[in-house]
Amino acid sequence: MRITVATAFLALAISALPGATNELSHTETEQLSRQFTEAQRTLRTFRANFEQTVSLLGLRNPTVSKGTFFYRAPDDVRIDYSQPDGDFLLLRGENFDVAKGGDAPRRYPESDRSARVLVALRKVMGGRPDAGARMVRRICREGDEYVVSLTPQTPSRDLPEKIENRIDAGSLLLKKMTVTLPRGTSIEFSFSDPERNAKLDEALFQEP
Amino acid sequence: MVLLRKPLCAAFLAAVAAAGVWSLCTVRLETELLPILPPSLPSVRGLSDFARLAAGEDEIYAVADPALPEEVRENLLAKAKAVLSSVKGVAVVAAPGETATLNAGTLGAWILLNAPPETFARATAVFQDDAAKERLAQIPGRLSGAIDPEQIVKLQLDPLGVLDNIGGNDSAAFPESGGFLAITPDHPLQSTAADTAMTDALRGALDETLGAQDRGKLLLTGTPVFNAEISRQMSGDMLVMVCAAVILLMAAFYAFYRTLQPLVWILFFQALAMLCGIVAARVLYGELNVISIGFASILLGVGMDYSVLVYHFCASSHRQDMKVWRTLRRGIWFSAAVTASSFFMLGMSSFPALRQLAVLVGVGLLATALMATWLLRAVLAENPPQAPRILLSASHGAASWALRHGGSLVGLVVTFALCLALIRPWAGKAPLYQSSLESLRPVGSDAYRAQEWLTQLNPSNKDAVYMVRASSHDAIRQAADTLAKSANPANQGIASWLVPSESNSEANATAWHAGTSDRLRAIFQQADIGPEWVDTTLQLANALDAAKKGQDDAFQKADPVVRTLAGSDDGGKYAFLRIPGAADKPVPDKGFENIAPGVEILPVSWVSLTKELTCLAQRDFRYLGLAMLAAIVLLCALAQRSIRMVFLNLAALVMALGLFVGLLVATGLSLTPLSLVSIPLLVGLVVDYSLHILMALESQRGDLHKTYEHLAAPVVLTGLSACIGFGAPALTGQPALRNFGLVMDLGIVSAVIACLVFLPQLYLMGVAKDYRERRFYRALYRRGSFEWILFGWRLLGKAGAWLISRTLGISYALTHPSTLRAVRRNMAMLDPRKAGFLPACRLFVNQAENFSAYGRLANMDPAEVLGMLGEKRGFEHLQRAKDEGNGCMLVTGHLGFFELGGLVLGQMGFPVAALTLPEPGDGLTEWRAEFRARWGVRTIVIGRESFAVLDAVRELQSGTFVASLADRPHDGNIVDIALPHGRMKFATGPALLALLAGCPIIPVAILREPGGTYLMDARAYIQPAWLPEGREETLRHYIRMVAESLVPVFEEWNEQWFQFSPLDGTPVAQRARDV
Repeated sequence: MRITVATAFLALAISALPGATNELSHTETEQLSRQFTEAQRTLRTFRANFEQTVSLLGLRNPTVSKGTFFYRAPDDVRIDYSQPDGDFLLLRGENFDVAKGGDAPRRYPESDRSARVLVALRKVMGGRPDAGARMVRRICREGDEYVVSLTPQTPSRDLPEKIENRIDAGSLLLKKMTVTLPRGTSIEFSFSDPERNAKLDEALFQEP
Repeated sequence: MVLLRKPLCAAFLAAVAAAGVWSLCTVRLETELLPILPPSLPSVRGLSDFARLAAGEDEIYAVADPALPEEVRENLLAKAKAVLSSVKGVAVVAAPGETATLNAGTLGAWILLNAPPETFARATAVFQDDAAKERLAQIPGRLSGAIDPEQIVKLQLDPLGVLDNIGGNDSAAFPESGGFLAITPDHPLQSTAADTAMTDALRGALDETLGAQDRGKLLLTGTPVFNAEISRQMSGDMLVMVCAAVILLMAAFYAFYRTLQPLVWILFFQALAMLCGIVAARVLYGELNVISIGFASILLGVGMDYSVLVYHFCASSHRQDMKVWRTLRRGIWFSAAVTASSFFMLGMSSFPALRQLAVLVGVGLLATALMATWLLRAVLAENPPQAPRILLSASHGAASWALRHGGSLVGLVVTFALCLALIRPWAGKAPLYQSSLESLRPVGSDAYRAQEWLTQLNPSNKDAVYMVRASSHDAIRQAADTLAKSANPANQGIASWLVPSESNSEANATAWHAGTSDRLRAIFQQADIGPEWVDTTLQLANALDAAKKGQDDAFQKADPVVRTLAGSDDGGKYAFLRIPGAADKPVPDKGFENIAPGVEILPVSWVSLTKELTCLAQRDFRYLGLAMLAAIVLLCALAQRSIRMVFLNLAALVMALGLFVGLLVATGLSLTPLSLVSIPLLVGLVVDYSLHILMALESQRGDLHKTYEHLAAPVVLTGLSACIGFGAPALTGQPALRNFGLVMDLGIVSAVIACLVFLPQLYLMGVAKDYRERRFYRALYRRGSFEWILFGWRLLGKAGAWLISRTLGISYALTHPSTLRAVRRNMAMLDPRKAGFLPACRLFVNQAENFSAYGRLANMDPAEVLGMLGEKRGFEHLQRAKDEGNGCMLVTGHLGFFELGGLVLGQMGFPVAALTLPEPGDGLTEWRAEFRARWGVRTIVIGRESFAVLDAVRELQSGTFVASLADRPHDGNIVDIALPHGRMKFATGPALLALLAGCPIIPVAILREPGGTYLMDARAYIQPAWLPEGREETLRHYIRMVAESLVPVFEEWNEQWFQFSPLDGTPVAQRARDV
């Protein structure tokens, strides 16, 4: 998952090339990668609303969750769920706190497998994403979006079957990310109302 | 074909060939290591059972380099999985745990059924209608909000959360590891060819798929890969070894005998002897194992000697000498019998491999001896070969060299060995024996490297694994915690929930509601949940339903996992338990004691196996060593019929072992479990060589030249051949084989040097030397010593000289037993009743007194010497001779203080000269001449000047009394004289001188009387004249007359008759035996 998300956000930046309608060349991709890194290094805070949709084979109805994504440079990431209310994920330094179903938050080290998503997001936000050597990247333009597709070089039970990102071509911001897992499971994240360097409440990143 | 013309030979050959072919076709080759180790050892049983019951013997593993980053490794494995799955003959390629996930329901059911009833009740409570429906209704909520993809997968696998209640959080229970793939063939791999074909197919597929940069980063391992690798490597190594050995062997044989044809015959008979061994293996064991294959090596090394000895005999000029042949044949047969018997003692070993080895070598050696002395001789007798003359001259040269420098060489080697022994504790070199099986590790083996990677990747490689056996699994469960605490008191316990339980499974099966699976299926359908969510749960329920019905195949799907956990076989119930972190010390120092009655703990560990093997080998070594030694001593005694010869056999063994250890230390080599076979080979070679050499030395009466003529070339050639044969493995790239080759060569070199150089030295040192050749005599019988006597007399006086002379005399007698024995034997020829130990010792004291008398004489005025004279008998004979003025030949023996006679006569006015041989020490002859000259006695040295005889005649003719000793002839001019109980030789020289000078002969003796004075006894007046019978008879006649006068004096005064060498002409070896 670490690589998956990191690569997705890298692809997100690359796909922001204005006017692109087809798959980007290698040179264009590298150039955009550098631009993305420079841009992220100027990022102090980030906020966006998001909607999480989990679809599983064998379940008729997908499960939808909503909330807000927060980032504060250099090491803090938080996801607050409004539906179901009260759930949150907080990656703060070396600690990863999870609150779910009204239970008291549980703490894990940042190296725990459950923290992979947020650790990868933090790297992307800090402009130091992983290379993603195990995934094949393909970037196309569809209307005002860049579609970044990541598929494993070879099938592996440790990797998602596919990651697809839809990026706003103008703002270079992520609009939607879909992670397709084995056994027909997919998780979709849709981002809206992004804000760069907005003032965030300090309490968001305090120890729960 | 001479053999085919002899019916008996032909029948024998046909029988051996037929039995050999049958054995070769039907004997089983055991290549596994564990079956050749003692089955009584707990670790051997543990490892064997684990391999039999838990490990998949046909499984192959593709392992990625653990040094690679995880994602690169996974990528590599993903590529490999795709390509390996398509290889023909491959059934399944799966990552670890992958198949377990597919059958997680069945496995969960198995664990659940064996869980304590309360756990079972808690876990199965979720199968009740309400509980199940409630859990299913919670699914959407569990998928919303903060989620983890792994939790999603887990939820999908077990929507009711059954598995949450049956443990599984213990990492020691299901050790997870990644980084490799398990490849299961779709058919059993039942031969090395099948192993090789499968391995090659998999490697080929990987090489095609992986780029050049990825080759070497993904390797194959597993039993089939090892078999394929070893098979291929052995083929290559064997080719190199055999070619090198054959070429070098032929070169060596040709260099010695300038022909190769006999070598073909020798190898043919060796091969037949090996067939006899294989027949024994087939009949007695039905198999040959990897260690007992070493019998061929020992057979070639030792048995080759028999054939070469026979060939050398047939090629020598003594081929018609049946006495030599009988000695040789006896030597070969006793050698074979001794070596075979000592090997048969190994039959009592705890090691099955050694028991087989013992029988094979024993049978092979006896067969070799038979073929060498019977068939090979028959072939060679048909067309007798001819050994090159250079062998003869080389043998003589070697014998001369050994006689000259052998002693120095022995001293040098002993000094060298002592230095090494002193240096060794400080040198920090490798130990003499490395018991670790690691020393057998192959180099350049991909399979071995992959296995190491597998160990690194497996987080459970630090765990100790045990096979626990008991009458029931319940007993094993109860013992699990005690076992954990016994291994390490800090341990809290073992994951015993993985061990089956008869009582739990029975209770749980009773409590299980039949038909639960159907009910659950309906609930799932009602909840509109697809099969992706329900399969595992239904699989679990189905298995429990089947178990409830008592179906044997209820848990068949989980068998690959279950069989690594527990089961039952003919030996009862078993389970495999793990103690985390205890791999380095799986067994406590005190062992496993009182774990529980009826529970047996078998470590599945090479660490504990190495320790157990070492302990057992040490115990075996002690009692087998003694048994082998006893067999060697007994049979050597039977062969040699002499305690001394047996001692020499054993001394050769000790010397060879000492030399071997010295060479190991000097070269820094260590014995390994493989090269340990050099010890029995060394024993066999030393027994063989030493028996032959000692028998030959005995037969040749200690003549090293003749002994070397018969044996040096064959022994050296055999040693060289064995060195070539055993040294060939050193040419391979495998350290274990290189070590084997080099260590074996050191053993052979030690045996050859110890037996060919050291042993004859020891033999000759002990019995063969005359006292005049001994270092002590040579060192002290010189001018300086006599001057010390004079100085001592001046310093200590008579009392001191008395004490010292007696001390030295007795000391010499006691420290020179062979000289003492010679003296007693000589005394016994005069009177056996007066030849005891004490009279002989007194003789030595008397001789010391004589030497002391020089000091006394030197410290007195020449005229005072007359005061030493006591009674004078037959003085009239002397006076008559003086009066006649024709001179006189005074003839005496080494009797009394004969020196005094000349001095006394000189003082009495008799012109006296002493006829003497040169003394051995530098300057002693001159010193004694000067000493005599003080009393007016002249010295004529025979042998130094060619005109000495003329001088003597001239002196006689001028009226001088010339004194001479007749009882130690120095050349061939001798007369055989009868003694009361034997015979001796007298020199004819004095009679000849008297005849030439025309003077009389007076036999005379100067003897020390009890009072301290000296008796002068002139025995007769003999006027010689030439007889008509001729010169020789004249000489014999007059010397016999002299002897008739002197022998009674010898008899009466035998304690003053100083003969320290055997006088009867008995051969040295015979003398030794008589002693």
